[in-house]
Amino acid sequence: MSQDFSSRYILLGTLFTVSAALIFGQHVSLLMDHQRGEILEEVRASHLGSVWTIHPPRGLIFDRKGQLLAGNEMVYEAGIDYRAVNKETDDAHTIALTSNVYFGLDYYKVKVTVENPPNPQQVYLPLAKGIEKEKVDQLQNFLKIRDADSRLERTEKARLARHLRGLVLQPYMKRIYPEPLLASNVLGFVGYTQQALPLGYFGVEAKYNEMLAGSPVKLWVPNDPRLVQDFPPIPEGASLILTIDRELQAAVEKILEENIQKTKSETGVIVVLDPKTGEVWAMASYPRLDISRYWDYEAISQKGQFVFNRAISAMYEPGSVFKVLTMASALDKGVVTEDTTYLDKGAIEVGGLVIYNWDRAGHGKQTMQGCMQLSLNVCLAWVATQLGAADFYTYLQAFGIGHTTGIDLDGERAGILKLPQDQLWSESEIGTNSFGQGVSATPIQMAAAISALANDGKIMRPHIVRAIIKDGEQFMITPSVSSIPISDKTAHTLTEMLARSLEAEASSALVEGYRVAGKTGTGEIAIPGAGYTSGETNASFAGWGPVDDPRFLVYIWLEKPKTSIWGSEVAAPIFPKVVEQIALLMNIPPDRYRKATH
Amino acid sequence: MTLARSLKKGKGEWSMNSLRRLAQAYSTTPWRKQISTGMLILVILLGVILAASLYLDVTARTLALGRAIIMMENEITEVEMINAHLRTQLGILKSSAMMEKRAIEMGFRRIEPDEGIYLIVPGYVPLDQTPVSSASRKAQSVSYSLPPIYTQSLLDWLKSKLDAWANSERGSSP
Repeated sequence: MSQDFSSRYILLGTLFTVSAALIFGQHVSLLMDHQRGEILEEVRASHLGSVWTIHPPRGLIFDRKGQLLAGNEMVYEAGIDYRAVNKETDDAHTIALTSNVYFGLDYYKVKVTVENPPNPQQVYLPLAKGIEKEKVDQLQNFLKIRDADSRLERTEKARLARHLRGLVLQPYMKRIYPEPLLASNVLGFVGYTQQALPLGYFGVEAKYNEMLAGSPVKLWVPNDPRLVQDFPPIPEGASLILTIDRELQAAVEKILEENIQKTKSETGVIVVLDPKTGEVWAMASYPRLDISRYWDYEAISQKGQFVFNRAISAMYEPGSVFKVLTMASALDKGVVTEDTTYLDKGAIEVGGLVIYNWDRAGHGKQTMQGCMQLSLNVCLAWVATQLGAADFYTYLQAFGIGHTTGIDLDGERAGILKLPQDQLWSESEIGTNSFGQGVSATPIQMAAAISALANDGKIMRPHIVRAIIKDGEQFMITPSVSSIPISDKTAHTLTEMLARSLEAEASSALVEGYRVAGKTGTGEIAIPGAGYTSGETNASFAGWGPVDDPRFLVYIWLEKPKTSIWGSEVAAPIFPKVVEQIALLMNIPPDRYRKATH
Repeated sequence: MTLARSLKKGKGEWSMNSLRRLAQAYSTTPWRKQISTGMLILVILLGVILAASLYLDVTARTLALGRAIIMMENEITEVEMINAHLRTQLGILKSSAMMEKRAIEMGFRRIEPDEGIYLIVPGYVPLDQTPVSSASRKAQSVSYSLPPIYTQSLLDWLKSKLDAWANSERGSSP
């Protein structure tokens, strides 16, 4: 007996020793083989719990009065959980039929997908995204057993629910725009990356993407419920209050579209800004994208010259509206005064190039106001030569020509301004540039540059975001000065000259009840290699008011109008329509009321 | 013997004898040891069962709480999503086009520029139109983890108490 026991003890001891040696050996081998060790560590970790990546809801976008411009909508992703699909029963048929009836998915496609997982290890496969909450609610209400009228119905619903266990409906937030055409050029849109992560494209959505999206948080959620802990607070994405006024934006977009059709123009832009702060109140661009169907962008942009936001991304030769900058520079430098006269003979040679007036006629002796009123190319070319190339281009750069304005929108372009030190620059450029030829700028650049005249010589950085809301706290954006190209005296003098010009010619840009200043522009469109022979123009108008205390600046650009090529005939008449809306919606009383309060 | 003597003092001779016989019989009974061993095992078993049932109860409640936390977290997420959804639906109902349509249906129309009436109120300064955020700050959790009472097992609790006791004893020693 004792011998039997001792042999058993030896056997047991040997087994323990061998086991211990094997465990030790395995331990050593795992220590040596890092890769295998890491794989096993991952397996171990997957049994202990899983990592959840939580994306906070994207921040909202409001207009300046708190109206929602971009929000989030709860939608569902439908998918197949192959672990819960019973191939022996008619799960595939039930899932396919339900998906077809409730979500409009293709019955056969879904059935085949359910019956044939892409690979045996596949656990989950998404079927469709963006399913509306209402549809999911309908299905859930239908499957509610307690609403069943009879026992048979209850049994049937329970059977259906069993067969639908493999159909997973996962809620998530999708970006939605209450009015997908309104200010779409300003807002941009949210698309998805290849990793199915939301990403802002264009406009505010792209510029403030990181702020709006917030920071995704990774949480380790243990499988053992005893180890579950309260989730830490997940900071939401910041919300933005824009400088845009929704009502004004809608009104300006409507005015632009009506006039695009009326003048048979190809494209158009209207920018309304507050020259004292740089706040953009409205920014209309035609054509524009329906951002609820943002996936059309690629197809649309491939068809033609589609620019998402022409106000900041489309460069053009502004034409005579540019004369405002030339005259402001010369007045500020003191090379001319309001009363300086010039004998216009209808032509002038600058750098070997003969420059003519728009009507190819001479207009005789003219004051500087007359030069602006009659929009004389010859006179302005002479003014620029009096200023000299160095000063002329220094002023233009101070006005922001050739540089981006720094507006907080994605996709702004800088325009083109050739400088004397550039190889492509020739002496004749000073003549052509003086009246807006041979230089290209975006509408926002022109609006910002001209805003110096409406704000005592200071250019405020144009901006779209007025306030940021983060964690319930609101931070106001402080307006900042971009540059001070001219003195307040120059700004007032030229504003007065331009106001008198409009009044003298009884311009169609005049607004009843408000004294305004402005300048038209008609820029010929050059054909590469053939010069300015297309017969097509860019028609512009820049206007601001009230003259004694400017509250708004409006910049209008119509590309290739057909009914008339002249800015004074197609662009200027739009100005009073826009100002009427600004006055009503932004509470700017007519001059007689306003002056009575002072 | 001691027991028999004490009883003898308080009771009569009759009962004393009976008890003495009973004690003698018990002391000579062969299964006395087995009974005491059995009783001891039963007492230990009862203690183990008591501890196990307590442990089970606490563990079960902890598990239930853990599950409840996960479900509540999911509910919070869903409620937040529904709130965001409803806020957006409200935004759609209050959209520029919808409001204009409703206003027209109610008989309103846009005013013409010359129809505006302005009142001069001396000293009145128009308010800044920017809405102040009405979003109340989310309640911040004071602690990101549950108190130990919700997570520790009975053994953990005993250990912590013993540690606390040991530390307090150590602290009180000179």
